[in-house]
Amino acid sequence: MSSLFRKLAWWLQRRRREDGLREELQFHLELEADERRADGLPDDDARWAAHRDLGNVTLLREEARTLWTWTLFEQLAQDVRYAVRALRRTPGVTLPAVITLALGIGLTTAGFSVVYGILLRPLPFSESDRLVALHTIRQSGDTFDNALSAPNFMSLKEEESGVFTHLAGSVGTARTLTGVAEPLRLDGTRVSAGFFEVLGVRPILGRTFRREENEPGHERVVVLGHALWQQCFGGDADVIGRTIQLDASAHTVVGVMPQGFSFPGGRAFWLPQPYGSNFFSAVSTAGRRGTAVVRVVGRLRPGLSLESAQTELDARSRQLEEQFPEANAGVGFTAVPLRDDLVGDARTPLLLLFGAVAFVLFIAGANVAGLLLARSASRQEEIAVRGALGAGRARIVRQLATESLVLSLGGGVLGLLLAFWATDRFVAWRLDDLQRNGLVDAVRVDATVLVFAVGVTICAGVLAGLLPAFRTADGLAGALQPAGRSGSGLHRGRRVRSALVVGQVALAVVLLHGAGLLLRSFVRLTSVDPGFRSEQVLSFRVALPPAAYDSNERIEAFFTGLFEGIGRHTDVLSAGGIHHLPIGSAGSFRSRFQLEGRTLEEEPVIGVRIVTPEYFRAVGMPVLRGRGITAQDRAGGLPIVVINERAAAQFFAGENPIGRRLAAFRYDAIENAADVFTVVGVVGDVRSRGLGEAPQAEAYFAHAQAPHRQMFVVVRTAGDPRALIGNIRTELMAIDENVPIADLRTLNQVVADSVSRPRILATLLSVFSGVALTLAAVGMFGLLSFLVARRTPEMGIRIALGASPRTLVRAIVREALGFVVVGLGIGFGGALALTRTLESELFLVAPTDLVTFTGVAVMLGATALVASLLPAWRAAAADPLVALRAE
Amino acid sequence: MPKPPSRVELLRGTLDLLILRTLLPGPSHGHAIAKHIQRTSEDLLQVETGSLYPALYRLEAKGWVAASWEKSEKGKRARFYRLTPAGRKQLVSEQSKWDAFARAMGLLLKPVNENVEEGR
Repeated sequence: MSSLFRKLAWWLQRRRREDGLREELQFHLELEADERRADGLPDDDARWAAHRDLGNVTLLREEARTLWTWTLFEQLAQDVRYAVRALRRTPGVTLPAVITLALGIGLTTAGFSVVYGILLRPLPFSESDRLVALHTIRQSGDTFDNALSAPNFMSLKEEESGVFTHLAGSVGTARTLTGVAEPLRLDGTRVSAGFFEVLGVRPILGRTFRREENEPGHERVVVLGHALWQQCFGGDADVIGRTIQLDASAHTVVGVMPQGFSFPGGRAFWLPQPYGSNFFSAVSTAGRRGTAVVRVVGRLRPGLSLESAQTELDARSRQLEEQFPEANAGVGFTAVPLRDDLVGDARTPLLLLFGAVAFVLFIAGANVAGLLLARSASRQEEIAVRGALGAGRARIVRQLATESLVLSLGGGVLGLLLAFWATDRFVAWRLDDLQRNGLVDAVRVDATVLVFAVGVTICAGVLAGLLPAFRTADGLAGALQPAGRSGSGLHRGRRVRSALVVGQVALAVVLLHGAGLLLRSFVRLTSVDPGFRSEQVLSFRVALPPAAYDSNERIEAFFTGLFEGIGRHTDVLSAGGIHHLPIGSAGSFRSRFQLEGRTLEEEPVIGVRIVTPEYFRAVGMPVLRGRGITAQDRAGGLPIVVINERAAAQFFAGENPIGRRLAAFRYDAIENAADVFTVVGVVGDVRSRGLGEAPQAEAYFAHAQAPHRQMFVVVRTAGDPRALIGNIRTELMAIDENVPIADLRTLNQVVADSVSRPRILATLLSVFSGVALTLAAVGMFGLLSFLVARRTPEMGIRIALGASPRTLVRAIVREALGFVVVGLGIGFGGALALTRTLESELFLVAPTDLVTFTGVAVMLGATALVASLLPAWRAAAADPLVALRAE
Repeated sequence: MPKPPSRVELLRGTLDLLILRTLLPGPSHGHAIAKHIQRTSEDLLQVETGSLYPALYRLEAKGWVAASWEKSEKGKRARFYRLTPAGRKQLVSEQSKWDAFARAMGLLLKPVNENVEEGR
């Protein structure tokens, strides 16, 4: 304690102390010199000898000073001051270094905030590590569903206590909310009893469902999501107990969930699902044991491992297999950690992107290390003088390290700003297409991300700065000698910098290769012919509430009126409807059919599409044989079907399909229509399941003969399809003001959205690899400029001896290409090893794609040329006289 | 010039003891302390100036010596160091520690030589 006060006191009078020390040493020197003189040395020599004897005065002072002050802090403050001053003196190095670091740190932090938010941050449920989702696995075809069939769910639920403390199911649904400013089509979920209890989430207002509300007759209650509550009810607490209209039937609001809760993803409201022995009695197909529609989430008993839970489930699924051999043959259930279930297949692309930004960070670090090396090489003399004046090695290393830390701190602050911005962009920019289950909502820059950013900043600073610092401190001795400039230290420095540049090139190659593959794959994907003409077509979805549209006639009347109304506008070329838009909507409507007069071992599975007469014309699908669907194909008339080319080839190979008959088998959408349909035409194939998926066999039924309440309307226009939106709204309002327009997009947009994931991947990776390439080019340029500057005397001599400028240019370019060749070699090795992980994201492109390899090589060659142009030009322009004088 | 006698390196920590001992008779300035140690040890011990002054400041910081500016024999201002009571106490304990150490070293080193000779 007393020493602290003394230090403080001394620190306050340190100037006087320093003067005293100087005087004391001066006195010592004089006495010493006097003595030498007495020994007979001449005056000058005596003084020098005394000085020599005294040794390093600065070091001595410094040591004395450590006793007086908190040297550590003082030196740190001093180092920081020096660092800032030194960095400001060399803006040519500082600016690029800070920007480079900011890019690296910013992108990596943004990448981390995304990866952390989606893959790592604990789910916002209590004890979320005990939560699992149940999936169905079918041995035949190795397919799996992320759901269970309702009866299987019920069977497991009956004996849940062995494995789970709770087990709950939910089924996605959509409702139209009316009675608010404008009718809204909303996605919600119907949940079994205990759904909210499984997750351990409490409402912020009101309550969740009571057990009896999951019994038939009591289910007219609803829990609202936070966003919907804010949007439609102004965040008013009085909403509890209010009655709202969902699909024209009254529901009482009983609760509001907290912000960010939309489980199992993107849900605006929750309804209780009456269940019991007939969980889905209302929807018969959905109620079958073979149809997996219930998303099941369970909470494992405390202490029960995933493995033992799985063992129990396996035993249970074997029992069910025996009990229900027809539906459950080869069917098993797996328990998947809830996070994995929610993340789905987004894990690979996310890790891929994070890996890419980490690469950019490495390149940035190597780049800055190179810059600092160059800078320290040119400061060799300054540092040597510092050493001669008494700075210890450790002190010099520390000062240089402080400089790079100050540098990376600057980069870190800028990088953090970039990270905030980029994270927002990532999320806003359709990141939800990578990950659709609401986890994206958890992406933000929080404390953990900040800690990560600080860690990255410090690591980058230390790693980029330590190497140059040690190298400089090592080179102290030789630097002041006249030959110091061309000493061996320089060669070592050059080797290190060359290695850094080669490393950058190699990393850039890996990134470029990945980006190249994704881009090529994306181009291939988007140049696929979807089978329809998507230009100038507007599409939107309408869904009629069952309460108001309870008969086929009413449904038919609504759509007839709508299409007539839309068709009246002069810009409309044709308007049709389909119950399931190709490419754009999730799920697959497929069914087994029987072909009349044919006994096949397995009935063909055919995609089911219900369309209105104008549909084929509106989307530009060609009718290849026979006829399309017309207004004359009415209910009560001959039930007809139009099949696609694939179906014709698959089931009627070499025969004329026209006039053949199909029998619908187990499909409800057309169950209230006739059972046997006559084929009247063949249309072209459409890639219904996505551009990357082969067309499947499909059958198109007439809407009039198989009415559907939810239809996508497609309108082909002569001009800009968006110009019609207002008119269409008016038409719809005129027919039924309670039917909202949902999913309003142009068909072009629908196609573009369907490839948004590969587009996101290709775009981001291209951006990252562009940054990487630029950084590598800058690094290469820096090193070449440095080499040329150092070799100016040599160049001068060469020119003086008659070398042509061209030879010199060639020498420099060769140097640059040398980096590229070595970097390419290493990079391609790495790319071959790493791009295997890309395979699942590629369409018709192999990871070993030769075109991509060539493209990357050419691009890097060109980069090397560009990076070496200016240095080469400088070398060639070397004036022998100036060059030699520089020595 | 006569060849300087080969010098003995100062053991770590002994410089403090030597300085304290040198100051026992009376106050002295840095240069005189160095010379006194050198002369009294018959030039066997050479005090590096680079370590003398830090040592003096260290002792001052510990409160074992006190310093004041006074006129030197040549009439110039010099910094004179003198023992404080605490320094005197420290000197006594350091000296007895050193005596014990020296005795132990002597005991240990001598018998080894004898043993070696006996073994021959």
